[in-house]
Amino acid sequence: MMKVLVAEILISLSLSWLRLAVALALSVFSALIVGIAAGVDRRIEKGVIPVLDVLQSVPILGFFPIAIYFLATSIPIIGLELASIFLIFTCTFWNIAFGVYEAVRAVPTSVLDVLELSNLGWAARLSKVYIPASIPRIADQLPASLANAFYFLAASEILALGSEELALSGIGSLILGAIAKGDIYTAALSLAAVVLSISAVYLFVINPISSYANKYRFDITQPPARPPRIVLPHILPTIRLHLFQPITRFSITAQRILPTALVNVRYVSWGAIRILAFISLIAGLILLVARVYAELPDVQATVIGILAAAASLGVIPMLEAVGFSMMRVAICISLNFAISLIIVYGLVEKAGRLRDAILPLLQIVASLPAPLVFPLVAPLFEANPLSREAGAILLMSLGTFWYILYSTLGGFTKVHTEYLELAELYKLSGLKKLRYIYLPFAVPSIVTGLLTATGGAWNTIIIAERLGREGGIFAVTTPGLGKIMAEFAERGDLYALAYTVIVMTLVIVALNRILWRRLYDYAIKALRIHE
Amino acid sequence: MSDAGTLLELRNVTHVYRLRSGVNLRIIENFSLSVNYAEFLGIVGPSGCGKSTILRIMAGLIRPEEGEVIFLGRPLHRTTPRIALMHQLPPLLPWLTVEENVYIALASSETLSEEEKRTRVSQFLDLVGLTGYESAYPYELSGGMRQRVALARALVSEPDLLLLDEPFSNLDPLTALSLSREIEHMWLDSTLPPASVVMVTHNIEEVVLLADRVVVLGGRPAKVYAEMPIKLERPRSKKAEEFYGYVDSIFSLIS
Repeated sequence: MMKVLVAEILISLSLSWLRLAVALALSVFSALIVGIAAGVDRRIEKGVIPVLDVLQSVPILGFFPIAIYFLATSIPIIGLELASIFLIFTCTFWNIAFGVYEAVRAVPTSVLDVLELSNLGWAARLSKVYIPASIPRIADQLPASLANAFYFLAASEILALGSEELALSGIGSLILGAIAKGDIYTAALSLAAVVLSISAVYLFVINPISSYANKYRFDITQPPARPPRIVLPHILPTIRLHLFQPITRFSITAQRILPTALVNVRYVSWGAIRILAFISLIAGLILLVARVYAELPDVQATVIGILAAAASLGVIPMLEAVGFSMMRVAICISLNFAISLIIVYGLVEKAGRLRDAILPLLQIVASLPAPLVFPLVAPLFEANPLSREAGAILLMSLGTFWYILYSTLGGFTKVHTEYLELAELYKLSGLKKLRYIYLPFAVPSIVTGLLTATGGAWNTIIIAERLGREGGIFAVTTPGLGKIMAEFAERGDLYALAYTVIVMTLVIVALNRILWRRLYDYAIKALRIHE
Repeated sequence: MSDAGTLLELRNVTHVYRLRSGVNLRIIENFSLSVNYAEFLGIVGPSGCGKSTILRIMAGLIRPEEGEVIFLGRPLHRTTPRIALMHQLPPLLPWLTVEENVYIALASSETLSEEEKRTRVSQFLDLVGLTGYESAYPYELSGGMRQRVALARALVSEPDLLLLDEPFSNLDPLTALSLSREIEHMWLDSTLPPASVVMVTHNIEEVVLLADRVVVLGGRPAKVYAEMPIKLERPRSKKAEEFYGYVDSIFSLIS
């Protein structure tokens, strides 16, 4: 019995990790293509970045119909797996893509000049400059992507829409299934397996990748300012000790790669590959469009359906739902920020060398899949409406806290040594040090972190306001956008679901444009940070 | 000169820098040096010989692994407003005005009233020739002016000892000369801070122009290779007969 259970857990765990690995590999690969293209070419940048920006605001539930209808139900056998991988991909891709884009944009002009002068072909540019330059940022983003993927692990393994419920075997579906059956023992054992495997992956995969990636780091000595257009933060950017990796190493590498004879051969073969790739891309696109067109219900019917759903829901209930959810998001973000500030200040000022030990621990805790842990403690929050609100905010926090913590920590560690010496020389400590030194340096990074965290918090309300099918495990008593989304998804009311997804995307995008971007621009101006 | 009494003394100081790879670099070992009252001490040596580390130990920023730092007869365990340090690239806070940047040196002082602090700040801004720039921001200033803000900030707490970490190496020659003249002038004026100055540099002409005594460092861990008093009349000029004699002999000691 025990043996069977262990075997089941191990198999489910491996399947989940396999999906995750494939999705992450896909994310990195596509992020490199999109990020480098946008970073190198102004026209592509103008088209791609705003689209990415909006798409990353779309809640994961918004991708469900695509996952289920175009992948799971229309492609036989592997369709379900593809759908799951696609959903994981939507949790991991965006921040890596923005990371690559920023890294490519940050390649110093001197290096670009060397490239121009040495007449390098595209293959060489990619392999010698753009990809190496992106590696540190990809490594920085991996923990966040991993944590995100685990947060939505169960969602990606149980593709439920209406009466259809397509469960894949994996650790997420195993745990939720066990909880639904009241089998706490299996659930706890599986969770322990998840924690162990995450720790192992950090220890043996993520951390080695990070230290390997440090070799390629050449943008750390730049000022804290960032181009304000960028949405994603640089989570975990400067926690490394190698703060002064020489910028020069890079241009030396760039100059060493000049055997021009080779370049010509490469250029020709690369040209051939490029043409082939282009042709297959076009062919693939045509096939995709044909497929989508065949599957897609009439556009007119869709629009009418969505409008009808909006009308039948009514304006006031929708406003109420958005209002309550917004309140939850605001409380969650402010609480998390206050706690992060205290923790980061403690880490930076008091922890000393302990910091190196505490950080990896935090990373592991960060990637614990909260929606899978939470059902175990949910009964504690069932008591009354207020405690349910607290439970929802806790569940949201588990998905957003780490973004805020990492970006705050990243900001604090950007303070150069001379400024810390300054504080010591003039005995600025406590609040004075926070006010004069740490906070101003950290503000740009904090604002980008809060921006992402807010988007993330909106995404988590779908789980936090209503966890489990048919209101089963946990639900708030007050209205909420996430709650009605979950209800529509359960009813299989695609039009109503599309309507709520659109509303949430609009709310997130509007908050980004109206609140966070302005705050960022204002901060940069007020702080007089000039590059 | 050396009979005027000791202001600060490093006694058998050792500092080890631990690399992440586990290698321990002994930057300085069993190192002793004293700074006298009213002295302008120059420290020269090749890059990476530990000059800056020594300066930071004198400032109380780095606590040595072994040995003691004695300041005014007492062991120095932490930074004090009576010892000021000026960095090579002045770390001015970009979000504060010139006035506020100088003010932070007094922000934590409990003995001065708010009004005294403000008066002190404008007095020292005046002294370095920045009157009229109080509400400017660092990015609006030239490199030389920024270094003046840093100088005002270093001196506003009226320190006994001013430590200079290659203060002129990022300035054009003319600005560097006039700023060094001003520092010399304030040091010579007994009513103004500082009493003594320690300057780390690799510009030999600069050190011969300013210092009473030059210490030549080298090797790893750093040792004092040689010590040389500079007995030139002030104000000094490069045209003085013995000037290049000093420069040449220090140069040969380094190389």
